[in-house]
Amino acid sequence: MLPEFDKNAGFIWASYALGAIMIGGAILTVMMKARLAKAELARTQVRAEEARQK
Amino acid sequence: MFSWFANPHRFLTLSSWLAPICYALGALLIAWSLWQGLWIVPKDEYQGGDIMRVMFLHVPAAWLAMASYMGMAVMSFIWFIWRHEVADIAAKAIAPLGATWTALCLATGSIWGKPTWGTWWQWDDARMMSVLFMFFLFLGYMALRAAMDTRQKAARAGAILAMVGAINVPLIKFSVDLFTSLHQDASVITVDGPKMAAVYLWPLLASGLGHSLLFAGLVMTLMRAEIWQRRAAQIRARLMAGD
Repeated sequence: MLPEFDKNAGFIWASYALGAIMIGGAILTVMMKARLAKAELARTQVRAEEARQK
Repeated sequence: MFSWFANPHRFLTLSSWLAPICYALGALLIAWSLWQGLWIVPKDEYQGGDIMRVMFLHVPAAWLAMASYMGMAVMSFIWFIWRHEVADIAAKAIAPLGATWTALCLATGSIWGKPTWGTWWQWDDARMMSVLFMFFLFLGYMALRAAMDTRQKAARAGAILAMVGAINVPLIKFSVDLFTSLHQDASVITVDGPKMAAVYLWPLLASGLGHSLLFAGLVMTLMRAEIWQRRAAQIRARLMAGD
């Protein structure tokens, strides 16, 4: 159940919606970047191992 | 002490368990403060009624914006003096997140300002302009690093900008005391202690701590990504050299 606010309800919800979008976006971006970097390192390590065996 | 933390391997081990703890505690504190701020605390007619509930997002965003800039400047200083690579990685990781929280502070402040002051923005307001300047410093820091052709040059140029720009942080804090501003005076971090009622203060402090922990977790995750990227680049360079 959402709380009921006075005439400024639109401003309050706009603030929190913006906060959710910006912070959620930052979390998603950071997680994605970390995942890609880890996968890239793993691929590079496999390539280096293959090169060493040749 | 700096040298102990400056070891990337040690940092990866430490952050592998510390970052999830920061995320979990941060999420809990933010959830509790939101519940308090939106559902529980009474509206304050002196502060314009329900619109003061924006405070539980705007104020932590403002604190974090300033703290993150100081964090970036301190890390830059450590890199500048001791050349610890992890300090440079930390400064680089703080910049985009600091810019995000500063943008959030500006946006929520503007939304709060419209019903309270009757305007979204005031170009000659010292508080608003100094925070906007800090937002541009974060963007400038990232652009400057990206424009350099070597990692060493990027770190040096970024560090100098971050350290020089740190002079803006006390200016933001004291702008409401030194200049005429629409913004209200400090009500939490003051010489005489908080001027705010406990019913608002505790959720606000919880929100501040929650945002800080979330921010710290994100910085650590970004730093881990940067270390992995640098390691991959080193291996690729060795492969290219036929080592």
